[in-house]
Amino acid sequence: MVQKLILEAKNLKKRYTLGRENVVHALNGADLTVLEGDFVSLIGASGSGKSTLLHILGFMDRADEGELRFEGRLVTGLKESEMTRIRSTEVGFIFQSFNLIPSLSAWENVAFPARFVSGVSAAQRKARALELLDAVGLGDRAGHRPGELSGGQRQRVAIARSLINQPKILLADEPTGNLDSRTGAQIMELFAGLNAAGQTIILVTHNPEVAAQTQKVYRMKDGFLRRVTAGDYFAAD
Amino acid sequence: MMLHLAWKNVKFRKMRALLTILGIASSISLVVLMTGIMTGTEKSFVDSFAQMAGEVRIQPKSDALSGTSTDLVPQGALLSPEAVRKITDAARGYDASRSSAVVYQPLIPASAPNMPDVMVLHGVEPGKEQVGLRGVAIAAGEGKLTGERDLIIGNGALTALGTRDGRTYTIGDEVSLQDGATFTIKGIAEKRDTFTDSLAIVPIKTAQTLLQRQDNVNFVVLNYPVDTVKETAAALEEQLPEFEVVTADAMLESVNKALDGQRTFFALINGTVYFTAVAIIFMVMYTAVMERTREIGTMRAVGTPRSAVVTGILSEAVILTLVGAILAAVPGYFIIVTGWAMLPAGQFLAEVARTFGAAVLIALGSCLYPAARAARINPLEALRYE
Repeated sequence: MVQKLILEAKNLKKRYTLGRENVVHALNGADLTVLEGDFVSLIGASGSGKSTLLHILGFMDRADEGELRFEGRLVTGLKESEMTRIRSTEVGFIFQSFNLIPSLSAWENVAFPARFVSGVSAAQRKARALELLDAVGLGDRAGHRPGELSGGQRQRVAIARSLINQPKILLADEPTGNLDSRTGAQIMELFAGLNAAGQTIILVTHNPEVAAQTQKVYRMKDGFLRRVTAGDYFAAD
Repeated sequence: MMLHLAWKNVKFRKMRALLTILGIASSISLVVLMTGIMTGTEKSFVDSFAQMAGEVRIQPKSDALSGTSTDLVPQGALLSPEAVRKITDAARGYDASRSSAVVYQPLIPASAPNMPDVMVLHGVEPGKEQVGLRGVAIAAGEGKLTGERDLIIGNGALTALGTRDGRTYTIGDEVSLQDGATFTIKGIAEKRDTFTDSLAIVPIKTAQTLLQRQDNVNFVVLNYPVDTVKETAAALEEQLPEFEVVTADAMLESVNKALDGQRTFFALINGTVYFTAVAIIFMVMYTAVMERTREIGTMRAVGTPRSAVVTGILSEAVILTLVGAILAAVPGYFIIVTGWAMLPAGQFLAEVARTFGAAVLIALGSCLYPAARAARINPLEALRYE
């Protein structure tokens, strides 16, 4: 079966100016192709540019140069409102620090992004949120606020939230970075299960053991992206 | 949609919400109280002068109107018996049963400038007590002065005398009005407005003796059908150019002028209070946006449009303000409506509704900058702390 193209990045470049003259080249011409059902990891040291790439792929930031295509459509230079719409409906984002809204309960956090999708009633949002919480094993914690949940439970809530609008792609920035190894392993199992069900996932990590659990691994170094094989995961940057 | 999140935020940050609400409530209660007092005072004057609609008062010409009384009676200038006779001879068509020469003297002055006196002595001809009562019913006792030491008294004046003497007076009790001159309480007038509340009506002769005015009086009140007052007053002015002819409308106009200073004063206080409320809301919401940069960044990252972020911040400010306003209205109601009876409930609620409207506008206005700042937060802020 031919896999559908989800994301295609060509020659992406991004510079930051720190202070008056210090220019940092975060991306120096990164190329990446993500197909439907891929489970991709971007690995690299701190400051290598992997998070910058993830932000651009997640429509949170813009590249200075290069092309980005989403399902074949050129999406470079979109307006802010259009980027917001795509973040809402096409992309699910998972943060290292979970980033749940502290005043909302677990199910309200999960349902939150669906508020901005037209045609979904409040009852439908709640039903879907509860279903997703059940799926990540937190059906009995639906009414708890983030402050009443453990780190692993919060990340599960964040994963459920990222799925509420049935996104085409999940982007996870160091999703196990703030978790102990056992909880991190459980979260990776959850990702594996989602991927097995057809979910496309891009994951950023600096942990080669986490990267080893994904199908395709790209190493980011000095703003360039290079696909690596199993033997290269642990190679020094 | 964002109203729900705003409400959740208010409940989640209870201490911050409570302190903000208390700040707003105290500001708004001050505005409600000030507005209520001013509106109540104006209403009281309008009501009182409405009861005098048929009256024409003729008094000596004088530039020196009473400094403490809003009744605008010349102090120091009196009408002699000859002057009274000249007036009554010239006047035609008045209702004699409700017209009388009057001795007038504030005995307990007002506690604040431009406010009605607390107790005002009215000496009227026996049988013409209505000239002082102006249609107010008698709540206890009777409304007729039969003995020379009889007294018909208003509710407020009776309370003031009770406070002065540390006792409660009732019908039949002896009470001293001034310099040990004692009177028997014959009737107590029903509570209606600040003017009739301050009444102390005694026989005219007794008042003249008490105040050492020989046979002189302060003014003559003539009562006409309401629809003829204007023309009659104009005719009397022509006939009696040496006297001042005053109607209720003219008095109300003078009072309105006298109240202008008070209105400005209250407006300044209200303005200061509104400014304080703006500062409180601005500070609280600006701090909230700064504290919640990451949370708002997350909301933006998961697809919340800028407009929804703005709505959320504005909703939160409106919720805090409205809860504060409701809390403020309750004590205001008990003070203005139940306690001082300055305004009927309906009119008070109308004032409160106006204040609520102003409060909501203030909440929205003072929040525009924090809300705009929140809307500009970049989704990458959600990741900056990682």
